Amino acid sequence: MFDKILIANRGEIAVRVMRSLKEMGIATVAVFSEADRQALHVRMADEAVCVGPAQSSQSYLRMDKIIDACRKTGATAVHPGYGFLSENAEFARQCQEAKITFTGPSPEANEAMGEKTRARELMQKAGVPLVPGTPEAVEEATQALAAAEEMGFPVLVKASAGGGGKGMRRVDRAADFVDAFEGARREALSAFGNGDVYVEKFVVNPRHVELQILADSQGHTIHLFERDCSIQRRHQKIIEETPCPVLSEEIRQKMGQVAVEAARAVDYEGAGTVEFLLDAEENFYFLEMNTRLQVEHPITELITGVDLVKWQVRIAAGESLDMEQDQVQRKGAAIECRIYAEDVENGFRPAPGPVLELTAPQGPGVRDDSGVYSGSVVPVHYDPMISKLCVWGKDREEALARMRRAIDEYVILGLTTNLEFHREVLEHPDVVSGDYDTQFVPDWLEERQRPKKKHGHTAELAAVLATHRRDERLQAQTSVGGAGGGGGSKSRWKDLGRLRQLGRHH
Amino acid sequence: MSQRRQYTVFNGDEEERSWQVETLAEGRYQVVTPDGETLEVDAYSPREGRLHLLSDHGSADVVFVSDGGKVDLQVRGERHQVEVYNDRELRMRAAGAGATAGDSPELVSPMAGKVVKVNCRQGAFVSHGDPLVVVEAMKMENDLQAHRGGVVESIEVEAGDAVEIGDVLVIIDDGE
Repeated sequence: MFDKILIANRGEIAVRVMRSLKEMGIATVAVFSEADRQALHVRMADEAVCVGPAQSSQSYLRMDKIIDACRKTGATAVHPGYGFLSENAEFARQCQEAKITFTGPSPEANEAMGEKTRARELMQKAGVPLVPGTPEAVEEATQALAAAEEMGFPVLVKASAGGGGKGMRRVDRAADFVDAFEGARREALSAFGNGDVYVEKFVVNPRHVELQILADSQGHTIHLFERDCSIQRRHQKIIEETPCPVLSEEIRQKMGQVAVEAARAVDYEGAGTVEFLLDAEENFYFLEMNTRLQVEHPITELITGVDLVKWQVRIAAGESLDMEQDQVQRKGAAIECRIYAEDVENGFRPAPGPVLELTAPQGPGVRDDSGVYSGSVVPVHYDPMISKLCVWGKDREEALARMRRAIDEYVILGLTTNLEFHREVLEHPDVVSGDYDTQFVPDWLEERQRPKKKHGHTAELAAVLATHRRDERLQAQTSVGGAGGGGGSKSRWKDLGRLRQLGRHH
Repeated sequence: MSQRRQYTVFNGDEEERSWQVETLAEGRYQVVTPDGETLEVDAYSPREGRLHLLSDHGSADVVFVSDGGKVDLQVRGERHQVEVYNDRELRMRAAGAGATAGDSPELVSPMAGKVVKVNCRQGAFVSHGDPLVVVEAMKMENDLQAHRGGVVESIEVEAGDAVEIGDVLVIIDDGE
């Protein structure tokens, strides 16, 4: 087992990985950019190395600096988290050359699944069901349009190197195709340095259901059931839950088997996720495989009791899985809400800023994987996700009620977050019944009315009393000063300011 | 020794709401609400920014941050931003009232990012809500829309420019 691991990431995921490492008795090394000096992951680590300026291309994405930080600190393995270098085969290869263990699949498996067109070919060979699409990247808009017309609208234009919804566009009509095609190419080029896109048929009203995989280097591959991630907006997941509320046990088993076969087809090692589209008739199609830890991994941990990060590390150290497929048990239901610093009422714009007050919910069945604290800052340079609020319940109903309770308990002031939006989603009848698909959020947003606040009266009362108490405090201070007792401020100007605030000096 | 003080509250609209407070004892207040109802409130503050209110058995825990007259509060997971002014502050506010942000001809960037595309020309007529500039931030493209209708007087950015929060993108003359 490793003595010391460097976490090549930031924010909540770096913190989450460190927690497992600490429990395993492994020393932790954080890396940070100049903008993250104050970040929680830096404060939590045993050692921390600054790897460059705020821009991630000059810090968190600099492979040379990260490998250098391993050498300096004597870390013998790297955990990449998600995003940044987690699916970068070149980084995995450079680690290999530097004799540093990359906690993740081989560069070959990463490449095979990372290039979506290649992944599709491989999956087709392995007998994994696929959505109809162009076999490879298309460069010419006219050629792509012809392919789109053949498979029939709506279609999706997707970046070959993509992920997280970047470089992805839905097109409903031939007339809109060329603009969307060019837009996706541009976005793909700027996000991934690779503008290749392909076109595939858009499955109407699907659910997004993904299977968690664990595979060791001895060839054991198991799945840890599914997560339903259909509550999303612009292909960014907002809320995930497990189990999928509509999946039959028969199809669950089948999807699990197919996911295991998909992982085996690329000799996968470590934790991975096979994403599927599930239509209303329970047909499912392979979407992509994410060769890393997912943001939403905690809900799988909550229902199975398996720590996925610990297994990533054990597998990277060459240990074999200690459980067979039929020993993986699930219990109850779990939900995750992604808490973002964003302004829902203004087009979900990122709203980074200072965290002045933060108290996370506690109590039975609540897990808050956060990357911030009271007094910290959500910097403008990175993804504005600040926390993943997760709950477990004995069944879906209890989990939903528990999540609403946890949201009510969550205190975060100083910046605008989507906390209240989560409550609204969780109270929507379609979410309560479980009858939703990936179109649910966009369709609902079309007609959504901004919700009425329930506690306006209490808020006003509290604001008034807070102001009244401030005024009385200021008055007490100035009257002591005025009596010549020496207790007041040394500055006459400050005294004057206070008096003016109180309205006692005209 | 205690006097009754008056506070004016704005809660999301321009309607003035008047509250009155009188201190009865340390942490105990008599409050007259804007509807004329009289409440007795027991307020406990473990530290600055935290207030727990008890009123006729009703219990509410409140967290707040205040900045000038603006108070940002959270009550039972619900966020409120209200403005509270004592009489003196209210007079100063009235004296200082001038042009508001909505009257400005400048469309400013609400985010830091890169201009991907400019969708308008100088001299063009635009309506409120027309998409004028595409700014990429956090690797997503955002359509920034006209904040008012009018004629595009000038365009201050071009594709490829880096912009910061508050940078002027387009100036729109509404003819007034």
